[in-house]
Amino acid sequence: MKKLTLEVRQNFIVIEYAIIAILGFLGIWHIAVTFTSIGKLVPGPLQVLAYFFQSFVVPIGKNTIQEHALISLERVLIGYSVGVVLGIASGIGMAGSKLFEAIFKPLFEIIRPIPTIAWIPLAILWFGIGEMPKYFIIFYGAYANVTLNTYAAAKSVNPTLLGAARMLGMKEKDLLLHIVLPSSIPQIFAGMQSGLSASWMGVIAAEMVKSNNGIGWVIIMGQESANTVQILAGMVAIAVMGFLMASGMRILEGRLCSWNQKKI
Amino acid sequence: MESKENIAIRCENISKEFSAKGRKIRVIDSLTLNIYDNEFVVLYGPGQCGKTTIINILSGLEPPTTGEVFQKSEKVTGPGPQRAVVYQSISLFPWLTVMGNVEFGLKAAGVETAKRRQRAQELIDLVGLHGFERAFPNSLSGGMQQRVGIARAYCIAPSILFMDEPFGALDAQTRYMMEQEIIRINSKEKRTILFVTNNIEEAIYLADRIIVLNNCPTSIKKEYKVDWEKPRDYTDKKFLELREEITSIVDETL
Amino acid sequence: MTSDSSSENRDFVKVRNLTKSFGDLLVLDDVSFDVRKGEFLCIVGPTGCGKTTFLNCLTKLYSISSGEITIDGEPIDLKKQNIAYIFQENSTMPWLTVEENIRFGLDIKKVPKDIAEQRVNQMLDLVNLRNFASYYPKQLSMSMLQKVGIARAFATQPSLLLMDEPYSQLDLNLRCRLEDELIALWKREKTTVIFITHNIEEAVYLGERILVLTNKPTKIKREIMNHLERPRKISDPEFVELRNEVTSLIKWW
Repeated sequence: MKKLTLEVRQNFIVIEYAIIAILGFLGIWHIAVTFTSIGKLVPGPLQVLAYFFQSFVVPIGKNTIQEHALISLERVLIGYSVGVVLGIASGIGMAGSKLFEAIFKPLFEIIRPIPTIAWIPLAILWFGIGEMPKYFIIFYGAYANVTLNTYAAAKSVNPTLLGAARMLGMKEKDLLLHIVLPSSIPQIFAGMQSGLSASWMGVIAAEMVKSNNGIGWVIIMGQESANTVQILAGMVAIAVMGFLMASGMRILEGRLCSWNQKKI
Repeated sequence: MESKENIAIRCENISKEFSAKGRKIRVIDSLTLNIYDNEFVVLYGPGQCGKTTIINILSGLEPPTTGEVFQKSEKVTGPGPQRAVVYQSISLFPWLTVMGNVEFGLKAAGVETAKRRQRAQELIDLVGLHGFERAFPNSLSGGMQQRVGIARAYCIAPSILFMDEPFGALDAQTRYMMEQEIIRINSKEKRTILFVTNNIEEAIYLADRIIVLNNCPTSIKKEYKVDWEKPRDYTDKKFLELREEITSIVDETL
Repeated sequence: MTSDSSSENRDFVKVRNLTKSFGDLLVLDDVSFDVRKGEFLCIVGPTGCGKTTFLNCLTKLYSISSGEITIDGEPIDLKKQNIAYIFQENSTMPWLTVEENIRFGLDIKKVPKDIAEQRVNQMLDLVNLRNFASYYPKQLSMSMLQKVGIARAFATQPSLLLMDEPYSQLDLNLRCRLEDELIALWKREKTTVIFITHNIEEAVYLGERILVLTNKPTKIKREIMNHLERPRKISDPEFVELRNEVTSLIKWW
């Protein structure tokens, strides 16, 4: 129990320094805006934060800022979940079937360098205006990352584990699901984290191109009406959402992958 | 009495070659072995002279280049629960608990939950890990992890147990403890054991018979029968004498 | 190796009331001992006895909770004093040849080129690696890598050499050879050595004096003098007696 106090104490120190760093940044921003010519281009932190909190009550367009945030998040969750599930299946499939691998791996290698955002124009042409192109972009961001990570993990399973499973009597057909998949979970999870970033970036970009709600829309509206404060408020919203999602993923990782960290 | 009937596993003129960079490397050369029921046989040899390859071939994980392996009267063609292996390196399934690991073989064989849990529990108790059923491997020490590996191997009721330098990664004292434990476990659940080590003290402490191997390509140099009582004393006069004798005949490469 | 009993040599290394805690966990408890100049001291203890913590205190990786460590009267200081260490895990630099690895410490100390070269050649001969001077670490076996590490450490003529189970990953037969080499090096260089191990036979084979530690909180249980003549034989009845004595003090299994 006493050992926990040491850990808690150390955590407090980390949080202390984080708060100091953030306040310091805001302070420098404020000073720069108030006392130099930067103030002509960029609004100060107090202004931005005021607008940000204000939009919890006063809607931007048809929705308040938290509604916009939830709209964006909802889109992400739908596209992301489909992307993750199909990504894991594809990655395992490619690792398990030589045929599958031979067909799809070269395709992936060609498509890999193309950033998710570059797919937006094509998605709009294919799926029209509406929700589908956004879902496609979100899906793709997750799918690409998760597939590649899953595939890499599945290919590099510790051969001793496979040998042990066979020795213990597991049939070949069961190895993929019962040995390859679980041992790949930590790396799949890494893919899920980068996939979430890609999906989130994808939704913001898609909303900036063609949408009438969501955080991305808030930002692009800010640009169209030369409302810098709104743009920055939107970015604050993105930062907050990003932080919450990352924390969520970390908690999930603690649950799913606790067997992976060396404890001794 | 030693006769054809109670040979647990045997191989005749086994050899193994690997191709590397266009050349063929002979790792094992003309190996013939008979292991009898309930014998504790130790394969002793310095360095990386192919001992793991012998285990892989005998347990069915790898095919020999020439020669055949027979377990009782059946030819060995692949790995399986009749030929259990305890490995040196990380071989526990990290996403499963101790219980999950130990009962793995029985689960794969379709044994029903209650029965397999009971058997697994017996073995977990036998190896001294009572209370750790729900622990994950990453929270166990090296010695404890090896005990789980041993319990897991025993659980599938193999007729022969291969142990490939299972204590090689442990410190000297934990090693002594595990050597004692193996003797104790084997006295409770007797099995045919083929144990590989490069540690001469360990070899003499454990073995009913020591097979001393040559370096690459591996073949049998000499055999020693050790029919003293167990557990043995590392500093006993005849223990030290045998140790000196075997040490002096072994090839050494730096 | 004649023992010089003049007082200035007797407590070359002084460890006084060394105590180390991590929060409320007391690991080292008031450990005090001396090491004579040029002595080969072995420290042995039960598994988990905090020897790593002890070493890390000596190499200043951890800060001491209380007590002091001095070398030749001065508090231990890695920058000013020449302290070398060799650990279980090999630390040869993979981008340097054997020769360059051994010369590494000498180059840092800006030893003149010709003296350095002579020294490196000496070391190469003493560890029997003459023919491998221009090989790279990845071409060598584990035991050879440890020889390189040892040669590198001795090359700089350290005032104190700390060794933490350098041979534990090697075959028993190789260990005996390497241990003989180590003793030969030590006799020639007259280095002060603190050798820490879990292997009791090794401690008895190497040490002039053996410190037996307890489990955590770690104290010194016993100090045992080892007057056996070298080369020592593990089957010698006196060797066996000493080994059994140390074992009985440590045995937990």
